[in-house]
Amino acid sequence: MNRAALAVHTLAELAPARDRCLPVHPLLAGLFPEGGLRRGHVVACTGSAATSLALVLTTQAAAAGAWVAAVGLPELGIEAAAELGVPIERLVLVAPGNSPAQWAERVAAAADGFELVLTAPPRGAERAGRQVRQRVQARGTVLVTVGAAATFGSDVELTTAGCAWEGLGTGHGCLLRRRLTVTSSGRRVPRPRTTALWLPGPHGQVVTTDATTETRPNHGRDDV
Amino acid sequence: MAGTMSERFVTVWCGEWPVVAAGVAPDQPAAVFHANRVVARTPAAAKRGVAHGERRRAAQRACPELQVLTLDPDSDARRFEPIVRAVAELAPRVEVVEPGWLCLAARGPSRYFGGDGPLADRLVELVGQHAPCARVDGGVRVGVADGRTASAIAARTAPGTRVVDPGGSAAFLADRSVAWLARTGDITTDLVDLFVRLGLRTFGQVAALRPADLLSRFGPPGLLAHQIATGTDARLSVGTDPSSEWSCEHPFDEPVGDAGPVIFVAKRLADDLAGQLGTAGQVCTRLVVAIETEHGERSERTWYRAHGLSAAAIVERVRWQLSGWVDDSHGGDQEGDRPTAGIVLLRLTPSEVRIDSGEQIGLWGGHSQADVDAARAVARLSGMVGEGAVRVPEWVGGRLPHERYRLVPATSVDLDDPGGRLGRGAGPWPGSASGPAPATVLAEPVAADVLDAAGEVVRVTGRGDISAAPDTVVLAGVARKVTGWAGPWPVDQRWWSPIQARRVARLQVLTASGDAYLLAVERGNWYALAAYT
Repeated sequence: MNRAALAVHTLAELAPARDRCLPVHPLLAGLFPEGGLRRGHVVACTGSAATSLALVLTTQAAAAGAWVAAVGLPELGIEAAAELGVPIERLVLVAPGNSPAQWAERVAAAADGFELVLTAPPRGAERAGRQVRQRVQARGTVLVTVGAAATFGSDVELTTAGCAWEGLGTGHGCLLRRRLTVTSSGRRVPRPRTTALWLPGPHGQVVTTDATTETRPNHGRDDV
Repeated sequence: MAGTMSERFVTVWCGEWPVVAAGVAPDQPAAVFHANRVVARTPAAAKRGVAHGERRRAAQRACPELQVLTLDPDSDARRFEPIVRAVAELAPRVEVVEPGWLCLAARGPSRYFGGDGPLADRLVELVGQHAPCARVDGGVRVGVADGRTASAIAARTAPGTRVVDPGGSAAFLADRSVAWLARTGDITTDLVDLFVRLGLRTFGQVAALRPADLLSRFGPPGLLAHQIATGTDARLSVGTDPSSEWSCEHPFDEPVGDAGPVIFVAKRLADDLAGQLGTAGQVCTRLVVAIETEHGERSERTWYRAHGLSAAAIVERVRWQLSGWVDDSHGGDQEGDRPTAGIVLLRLTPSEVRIDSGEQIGLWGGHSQADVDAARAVARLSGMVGEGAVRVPEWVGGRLPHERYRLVPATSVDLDDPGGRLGRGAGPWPGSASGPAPATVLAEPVAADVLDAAGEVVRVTGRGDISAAPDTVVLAGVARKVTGWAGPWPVDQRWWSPIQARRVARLQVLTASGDAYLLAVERGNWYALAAYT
C-alpha cells in the first residue's frame, strides 16, 4: 500500500510525456524545457507585458478544447484575449474574494475543473499559495500567475523585458506592435532561454520578430 | 390499438412567468432576456411587437422604452413556491416541472371537486390569488387531458382552461405540430427536426405510423412520440417505486443555518446518484427532494423533467426549493411554514427512473470531458462564491474598451452555445480605436492628469484640437514622462439625445518606461481607460 502511494504521487507522473504537457504557442515552446506547459506547474509571468504573455500561453491549449479560468483578474481585456487567439467562449472570470484565504479557495475550486488557471496572487498569499500549489500539482492544472512573481514559488518564471512599441509618433500614428524579449528561468529551467517576439503583432496576435522585420511599420504617414 | 389508456393529468401553466415573477405590471412594456434572447414579455410588450426568441436589439427596436430584465431562475422559483404550496394543499403529488409550470394527477382531486372542469376553474382561481399579475389576460392556463404531454399542450395552446375529454387526446393532438414535443421536453429538438424533414409534421401523421417502425427507426424516443400522439402514453404520475436503494440522504451532524453547505452536500449526493443511475444505464426523470429542520419542519417537493435530471439539474432544483422555503418573503400569508431552525437532513429520492436513451458524446463538437469538468467547476464556484462572482464575457459593442464586452453570470448563459453571447456580426465596429486591443481594461475609468511642458492641463477643443503636446501623465499619483502620443480621437455618441449624449476624446500615450496607455478626456477631466500590458 505504502509503496504504491510513494511510487506515484500524482496522476500527472503516470502519463506519457506528451500527455504531461499542455501545448503552448510554437513561438514560446522553446522557452520550456519540455516544449510545453507541464501539468501541475506554476508559471509566473512578470514584466510590463505580463498580461499579454499569460494570455498567449493559454491560446494553444484552449484552442484544443481546454477551458481557462481567470481568478482575480477583473481587468483582463477580453478583446485583447480574443485577438491574441484565446477562444473566449471557454474563458470564465472569477472574482478574487476579499482575503488570501478566499482567493486560495477559489483558485483551488477552479483548478478542479479547468486545465488552465490565470491569476494574480493577492498580497500576503504565501501560506494560502502553498496550498494552492499542492492542489494544482495534484489536479494537473497549469497555474499561470500574472504580475509580481508568485511569493509561493513558481516552476517556470517568464520575464518580459525591453518592451518597445512601434507605430506611435508624437501626435500621429497609433500603437501598432510591440517588440519584446521573453526570458524563462526558474527551478525547472536548467538554463535560462530568451526569445524575441512581437507581442502583440500588427493584428493583435503574437508573431516572431524574423517574419515581420521586412515589413516596416506605418508611422501614420509615409515620408514624402 | 391495444395500448393502455394514459392516466389523466392536469397541467397548470403560468405564461410568461419570468416577467410575472419580476413583479412588472402587465401594462408596462418589459421583457426578460436569457442569452440575449427574449424568453418572456408582458402583454404590453407583446402588443408592441416584442416576440419570443428575438434578440435584444430587435426587441428594443420594436419597443424603445422596453424594460430589459435578465433571467433569474432562483427568484422565479422563489416566487412560484407559494403557488406550489397552495396547489399541494388542494391535491397531493404535485410535480413542479419548472417555475411557472406544474402538473398533477387528475383522478383524485377531479372526483373530489366534481369533475375536471370545476377542478380546472378552482386551480385558476387559486393561482390567481397568489399571483394577481398572472391572472391578467388569461396568464394562468390549466389543461386537463390523457397523458402529461397532452395536458401540457392543452394548457399552453389556449388561454383559460381547456378540458380534453377522456379518450380524446389523440383527436385533440392530431392537427398540432410535433414541435410541441421539443417544447414539453419529451424528445430532443434534433429529433423533432428530423421528424419534420421526414414529413412528419403533425401528431396525426406520427400516430398513423406503426409503433414498431418508429421504435426500430428512432429508438425509445420514437415509440414515446407515438404513444403521446395516440394518447397511450403509459407513464404514470406515481410510477412503481423504482427502488428505494437509489434514495440517498445526508444527515447533518450540526444543524445548518446557511444554504451554502446544503448545496454542497446536495452536489455530492446528486453526483453520486447520477453516477449510480448512470452505471445502471438509467436516468432519473422524477425526484423527490426532502429537507428537514431540527424542529421537525419539512419541505418536500417532487421535481419532474421529461428528458432526465442531470446532477447539475438536481442541484439547481434543491437550490430552488431551499431558497423558496427559507427566503419566503413573498409567500405572505403562510408565515408558519418558514423553517425556524437549522437544517438537519437532506434526502433525494428518485421516484421515476427510465432507461437512459443516451446522448452519445459527439465526435465533432458536442461535449468533451473538459467541457463537462468546466461546467461542473462553474456550478461549484457559483454555489460557493455566488453567481455574480463567476462570469463570462458577452459581446455588447462600443467604441470605448470597457463598453465592448460585458461580464454576465456564467450560470445565466448556456456555456455550450456561445454563439448568441459572443457573436459580434461581420465587419469592424466603426469608430473604435485601431491597432491591437489593450490587455488591461479598467472596469471603471480612473482619474488621471495629462500635463503639457509648462505643467498646464492639456485641453481638447470641441473641434478635436489639442491645446499642447502632452509632456507628462500622472497616473495613480506617479508622474510619467510621455515619449509618444497620438490623438485626440473624438467620440460623439448619441448627440441626438440630450440625456444620453456623450462627447469623449481618446488619446494613446507611450511613457518613457515603455508602458502604453489609453486615456480619455470628458468635460475637461482626464481618465485612464486601459493599459497595453
